[in-house]
Amino acid sequence: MRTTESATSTARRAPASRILAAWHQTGRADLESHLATHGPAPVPRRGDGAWGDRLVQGVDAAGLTGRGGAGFPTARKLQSFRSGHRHGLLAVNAMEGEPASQKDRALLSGAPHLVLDGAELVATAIGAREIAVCVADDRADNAEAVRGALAERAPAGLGRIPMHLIRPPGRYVTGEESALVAWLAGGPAHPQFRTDKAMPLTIKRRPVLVQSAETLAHVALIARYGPEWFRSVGLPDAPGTCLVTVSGPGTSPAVCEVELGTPVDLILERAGISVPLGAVVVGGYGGTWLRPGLLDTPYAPKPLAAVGSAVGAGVIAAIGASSCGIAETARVATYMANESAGQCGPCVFGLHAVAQDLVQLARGECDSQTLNRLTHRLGAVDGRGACAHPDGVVRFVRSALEVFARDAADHARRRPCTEWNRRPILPVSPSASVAVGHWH
Amino acid sequence: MTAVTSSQWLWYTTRGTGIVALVLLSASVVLGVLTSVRLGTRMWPRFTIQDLHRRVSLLAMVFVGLHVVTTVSDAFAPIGWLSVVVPFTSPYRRLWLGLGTVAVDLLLAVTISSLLRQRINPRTWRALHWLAYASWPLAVVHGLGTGTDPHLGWAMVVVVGCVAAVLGALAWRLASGWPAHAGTRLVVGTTSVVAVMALAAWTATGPLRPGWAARAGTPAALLGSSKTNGAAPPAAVPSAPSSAASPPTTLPAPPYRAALSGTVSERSLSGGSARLEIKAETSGSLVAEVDIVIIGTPAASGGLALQQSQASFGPPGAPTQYQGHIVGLDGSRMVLSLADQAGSPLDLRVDVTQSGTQVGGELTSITGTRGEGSLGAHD
Amino acid sequence: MPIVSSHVRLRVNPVACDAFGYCAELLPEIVTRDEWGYPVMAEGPVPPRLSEVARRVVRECPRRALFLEKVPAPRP
Repeated sequence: MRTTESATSTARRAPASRILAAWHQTGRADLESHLATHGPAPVPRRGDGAWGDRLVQGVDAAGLTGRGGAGFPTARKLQSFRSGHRHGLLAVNAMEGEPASQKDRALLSGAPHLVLDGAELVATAIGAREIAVCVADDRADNAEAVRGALAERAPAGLGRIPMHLIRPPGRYVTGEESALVAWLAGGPAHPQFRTDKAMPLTIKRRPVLVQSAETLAHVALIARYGPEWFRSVGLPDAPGTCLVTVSGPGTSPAVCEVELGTPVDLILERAGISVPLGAVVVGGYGGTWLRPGLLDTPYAPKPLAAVGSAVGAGVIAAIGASSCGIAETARVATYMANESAGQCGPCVFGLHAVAQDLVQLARGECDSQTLNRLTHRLGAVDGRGACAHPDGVVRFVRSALEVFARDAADHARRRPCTEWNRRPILPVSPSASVAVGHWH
Repeated sequence: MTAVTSSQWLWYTTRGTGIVALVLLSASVVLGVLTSVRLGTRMWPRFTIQDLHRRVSLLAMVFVGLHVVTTVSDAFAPIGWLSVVVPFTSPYRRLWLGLGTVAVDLLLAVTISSLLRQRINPRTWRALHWLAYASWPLAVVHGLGTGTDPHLGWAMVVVVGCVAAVLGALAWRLASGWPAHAGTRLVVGTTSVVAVMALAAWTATGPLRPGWAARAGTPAALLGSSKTNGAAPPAAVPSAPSSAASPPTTLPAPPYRAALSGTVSERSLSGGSARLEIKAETSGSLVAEVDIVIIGTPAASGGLALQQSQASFGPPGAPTQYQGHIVGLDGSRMVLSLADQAGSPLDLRVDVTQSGTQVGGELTSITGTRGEGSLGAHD
Repeated sequence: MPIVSSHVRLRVNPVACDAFGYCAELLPEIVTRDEWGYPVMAEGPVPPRLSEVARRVVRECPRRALFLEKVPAPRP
């Protein structure tokens, strides 16, 4: 895993690269180098009742949005938990369910104390009594990094709120908010059906706030250097930086901290990916394909939305010009179908049917109706599950059919794909073949 | 309406409602299976099958209720209200009746939870509903064990039909792929087949063999009466449990005159009547047992106004050798008119005095024309 | 139980739904079934003439997967 610094740095007093500053400067991620680079976290003095308000206002002024994929304004989420004045739980989401993403790994091995600082600050502000750091049970290296960081903090006197490392099952959907909370409550890590997503998640009436690890790291920096510093890079309506896992054909994935608004092709270039590219996956396997002609789109919510894409889970994965987008999409769709929690009929049956259609298309083993059937089925699956998993797959496949329209038409005319038997570019994690019962 | 006739009517109703309840319960199980395999046709859409299942189940419960009420109201067998819900507390065929009680308990849980369905947790409802699968076999075994009709051809046909229908429905459900795990399906299927074969074997060697009534736990005083056996078994003496020293099975020739000593117990029955039972033994040269049951309403002057009675007399090895009833009752004196299986009559006069639960007295045989010694009509 | 708001939508909890299909049988005007047997709800509120049937359908679902959700009145 490689990391790269962001190109521009105009922060006053703050280090040039932000989240991975200590790592870059000292080559270490321990507590000593963290404190040397950033100083102590500004936890409140006892009796400072207005501190929580100030923190939330600071986050609001900074314009921080959730880095876990939904992009919801963080301050608003914190505020809805503060109004309750109840003693809840903060869950740090470092589950990294997206196979093409390595950013939680970078965070935990490169800047764990920023994440834990952020957790401490947020938990104090919302009145949480406990912090649960959630690392998938198949990520031993991430767990080790967290354990090491936690072990350093107690002797140094850091942390008034108890922090525990916990290991939920590592599947694609188990990092979803409601799935995580369901598992914390003692059941299987299945996403829950929610009629009102604005209502806080609870475990037996105890509210639970789920925040992604990267968001908390940004909070820890904003609390030290202020909202103006945070806004000094990025765009006015998309301020700050974010971590992106960049991968391409023939290169191992690299985690980069990029200023929002940097063009996608520049990000790829800085990550060292410059071979002739085919299309690029943006946002993860629930995101979209970006055609080669649009690679100069700025990496930020609004510009990406204008071309039908989104930032999503912080993934930019390129395939080569000679790869077959349909074949790659078919493999991803098969993986995503196997990763369904199996709760909702349209998701269980629909995603498998969609995946089968795509595989037939890629193999050139289809009939004249396959494309029509596939399109019809995508419409039948969209929005009919309890969570956004089927919606993501539909979005991904629809964008594939658009970006690779010519390949799709070729395949529909029964021209099999020469790429079908080649090694896949996009990673599909081996946990897809884990036993069906691995949800507890 | 004389007491004897009304008691007969209750007894027939108990048996009749029991069989109908079993048929309806079996139909309910079959319909329930049909809803779970999602059976639906144009004429019978799925929601109508579901609706039918609910209605048939409620009707079944009505008949179970009638069956229970008539059983307890019938003074013939000593089954009280407690035995309706607390299993294995009835002196009448304790085990087999108790199974019926367990079935009623389970069905009550199923029915009440279904009536309150919208208000309770769906998972709770589902868990309770599975009890229905447990209650049906209990009902079948209860029917065969307590019923007095198994050896009647039509009753057996009905029971076999019910079992076949439920088995067929279960097979359909297994074939439709429930439960999802193939191993579980195999276990369920095999267990059901084995259970049915065991049931058939037990039925053939148990309820269908003569003497079942006694083996099943019918109280001695009720054995041999025309009610216990639907049709009297040919020349069979109800078998008493054999003991190490085999008790005498014959009486000396009359005349008899012997002292009596024993116990008396009294029990209230529903509807205001009471049941008095005297169990006594003779001493001296005559070694015999006498059992007298009086059912009547308490009279204003004390004692009971006789409505119904049974009496038995015989040696310890065959205590019901002679059976009959009371033909005369005057204070502490009773005249019993008895006969044995062959029809030979025997009349006895019994004088008893009671002190607490103990009785003592004298038993004398009466010879001469029938009717002599009777002390007045009774009604 | 009278529903005060005049605009409700019939919705399904997809986790609870087990494709029994009573809803589609009783209320075909609003509920159709996809190729796997699961219900697809038509857009828009339940027409007032069907509201009684919709309430029945919610009661009849064996998995209690259906519910009526109040929606704001559509703007003119």
